[in-house]
Amino acid sequence: MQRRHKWKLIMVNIACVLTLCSCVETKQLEKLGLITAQGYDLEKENEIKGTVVVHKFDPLAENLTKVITVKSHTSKALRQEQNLEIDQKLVTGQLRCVIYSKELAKRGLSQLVDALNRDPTIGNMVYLTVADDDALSIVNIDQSKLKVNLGTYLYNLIKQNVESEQLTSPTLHEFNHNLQDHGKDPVLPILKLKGEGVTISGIALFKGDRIVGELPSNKLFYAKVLYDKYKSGTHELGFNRSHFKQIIKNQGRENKEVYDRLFISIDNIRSHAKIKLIDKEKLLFRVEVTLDSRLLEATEPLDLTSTKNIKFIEKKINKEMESQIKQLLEFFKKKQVDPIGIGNEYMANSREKPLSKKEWRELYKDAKFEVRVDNTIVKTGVID
Amino acid sequence: MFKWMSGKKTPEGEKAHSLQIDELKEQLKKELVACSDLMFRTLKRNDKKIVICFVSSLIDKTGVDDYILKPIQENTQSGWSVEELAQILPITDLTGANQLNEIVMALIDGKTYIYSEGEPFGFLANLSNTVERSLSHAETESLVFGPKIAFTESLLGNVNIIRNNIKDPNLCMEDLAIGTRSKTSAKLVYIKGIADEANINTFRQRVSQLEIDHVQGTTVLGQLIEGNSWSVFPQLMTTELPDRITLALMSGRVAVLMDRSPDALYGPTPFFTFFESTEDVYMRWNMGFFLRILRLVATFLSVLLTPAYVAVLTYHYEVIPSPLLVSLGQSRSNVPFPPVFEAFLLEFVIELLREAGARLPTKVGQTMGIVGGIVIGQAAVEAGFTSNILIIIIALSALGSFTTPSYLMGTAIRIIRFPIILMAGFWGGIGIMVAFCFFIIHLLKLDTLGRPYLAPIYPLNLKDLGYSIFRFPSQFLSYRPVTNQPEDKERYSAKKAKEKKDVDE
Repeated sequence: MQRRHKWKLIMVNIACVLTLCSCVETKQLEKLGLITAQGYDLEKENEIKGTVVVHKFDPLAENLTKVITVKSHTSKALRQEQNLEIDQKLVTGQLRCVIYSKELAKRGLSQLVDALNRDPTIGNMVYLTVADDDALSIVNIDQSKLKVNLGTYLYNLIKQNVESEQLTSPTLHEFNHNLQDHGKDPVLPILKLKGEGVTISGIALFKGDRIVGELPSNKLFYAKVLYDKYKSGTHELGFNRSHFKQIIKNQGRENKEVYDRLFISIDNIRSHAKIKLIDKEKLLFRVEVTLDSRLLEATEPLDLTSTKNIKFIEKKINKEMESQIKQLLEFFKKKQVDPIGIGNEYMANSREKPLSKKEWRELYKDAKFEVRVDNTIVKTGVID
Repeated sequence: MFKWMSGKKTPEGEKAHSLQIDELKEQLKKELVACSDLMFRTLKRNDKKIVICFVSSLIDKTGVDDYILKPIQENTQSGWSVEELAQILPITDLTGANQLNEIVMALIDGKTYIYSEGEPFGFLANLSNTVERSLSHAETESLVFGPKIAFTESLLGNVNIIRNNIKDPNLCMEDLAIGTRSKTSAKLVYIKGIADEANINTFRQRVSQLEIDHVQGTTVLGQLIEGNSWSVFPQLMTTELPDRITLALMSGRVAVLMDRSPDALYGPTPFFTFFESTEDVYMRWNMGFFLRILRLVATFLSVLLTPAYVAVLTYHYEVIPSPLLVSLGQSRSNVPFPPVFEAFLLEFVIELLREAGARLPTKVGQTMGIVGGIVIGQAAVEAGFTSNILIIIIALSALGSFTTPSYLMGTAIRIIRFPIILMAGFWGGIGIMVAFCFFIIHLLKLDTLGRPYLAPIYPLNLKDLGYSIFRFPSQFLSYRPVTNQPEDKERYSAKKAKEKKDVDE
């Protein structure tokens, strides 16, 4: 009797569970239109233009991606509009890359980014980017030449550069973090059309959620050095040729006039940057950068056989880097952006209540920097 | 046997047979209903009659000729009294009897009854001959390493093998009779001083209190005496490998051998025992270690891979990595069914293949495997019946389930996959979790001979992990598995093993 009762109870439970919560909405992969990239443009006051790259599966179709552009006021309404133009249900779960036009970024991205945050199907590892011109033209590039869909292509483009340490990772997660952080500002890469492809032309500096400046791609190295650690990277430095006269080898020829400057390329860099608040009253920061590198290429034959010469080159490089970093820090200060997190360093060293973003910006105006670079050339390559 | 002489009153149903040979014949014919092979051989000398009764199909005829007829006929000077007969018959297994019941049972057992007319009792001589196959290779549990010998259907032969493996005077063999009608003889085997008394008692009690007309073999016996017969998971293990039984006995387990059954049943066998092969022990420990982990991983994948495919393709498209996305989506877009149905279909086909392969003779089975492989591998995908990724997954999970050394457990694993796939189709990842938790809870509730089924994971016993999930080298295994609660806990003295025996000392 007891046993029978138990079975009855189990059956009733199973029946309830199956009937009351059975039909979960199915999302079968082949019936979905997967949005892999999204672009947002400012159409006019009160209206944004949204473009999506949709990847869909069809055994018969050749071109698997479709680009849809519509205009609306909010990003979710855009989705509704876009859904009207496609035979498969639009979903955002495979979104890899979002492009905002510079125009839009100048007016603030927080609401559009917030829409991404709230959608649980969108991962935190989505890359956010800024288009140099408008997002539509980037999304609309001729995709027939790409082997993969545009979203994945852009994702790989950025990921590859993040992995080779030319960029700092521009994921949604990091953008959110830096946006909320009182002592740090977000940065995003800028995409630019180049011929038929896309290139990363630099990084956009944000003050809050608005873009206030740009850093060209050749300056990215120093930003990255300060931003986080280097494990392997390459950088090229230019010097005045005359400074190096004593160590340039004259291989019979008197003067080679291809370059009037001397360029040295160092790679395999391991770097470590330390920002220290030295004087709280004067707001003096000391930035210490330690680098281990390998000298692999120079535009002139240099005599690298003696330690003295190596030390000489190290010194030159140190000096050059110090001035570049100093310039960069001043540039950031002028633009009132803090992508490196100097504010965090300050707050970590002051035992007061954490500052608000506004308070820190007031202080930031008067910050002073002292830069020290200690570069060691570990190897100069293999020569038989 | 000499009950009638002790003056005790014979109990109901037990009576001495008639002292007249003709009447005795009638009595026996009446008792052994329609027994056409019951035969009598009567000898006469000086008005004295002697009768030899046997069931002709059960005895060794030349034996009867040589050891019964010949001595009786040749010894002309000696009489035919009981004492004289006992002197002249050259037979080891000779007992006196006069109870009709006893004689009937003995005749069915293959004994020969010799009765000299007028004497108070006759002799039962054991000259039985049972049909047996010779020892052969293990078929269901095939091995690369280790002894290949397998049990046969003969209880005596099996006991012989075990006794030869373990020459320990403490090796106990208790006689048991199973089946109220069939009365199959069986033996409860354990090593006294190692096996836990409680285990022995549980086993003995469960087997001896079994009231059923006939038990078909040890596998059936296992089903009859295990704790939860509703479960798909076998709770007691059968094996045809004598060395497996030897290992089990030495680690404090208890076994039952049954006549006419080529498998031995043993316990307690927790869940992970079913994933152990004797080969793990014979191999070098690191190989054994690797193989055990491999088997567990394979089982895990076998259970969860197909449900994961179903769940991901029906509900969680977000988690598909982008390199896989295109190939998955492309192959799926050809398929007209939802993923659950697709998975069920293919699992069904694989099960069909397996079952058909097991039923067919080996020669045909191979051909069928090839045909099945081509049909499923190529044609089904090209016809847009299934996606090729699912084929890989299904094949992987089928392979995974075959790595389990125990055929019963392998089947159980294949079966529990189906409800999990169904739940994955209903509720996606949550469904998998619900179903999986259900099975985990079920496993936790099971017991094997009253001992926890998931030992040594739950209750956790770190010492025994080296025996069940992992395989440690023997210098770390100086003790017997704790979960078996052996009485003699040590295999060797760990302290003594650490002493160095240098020549200099």
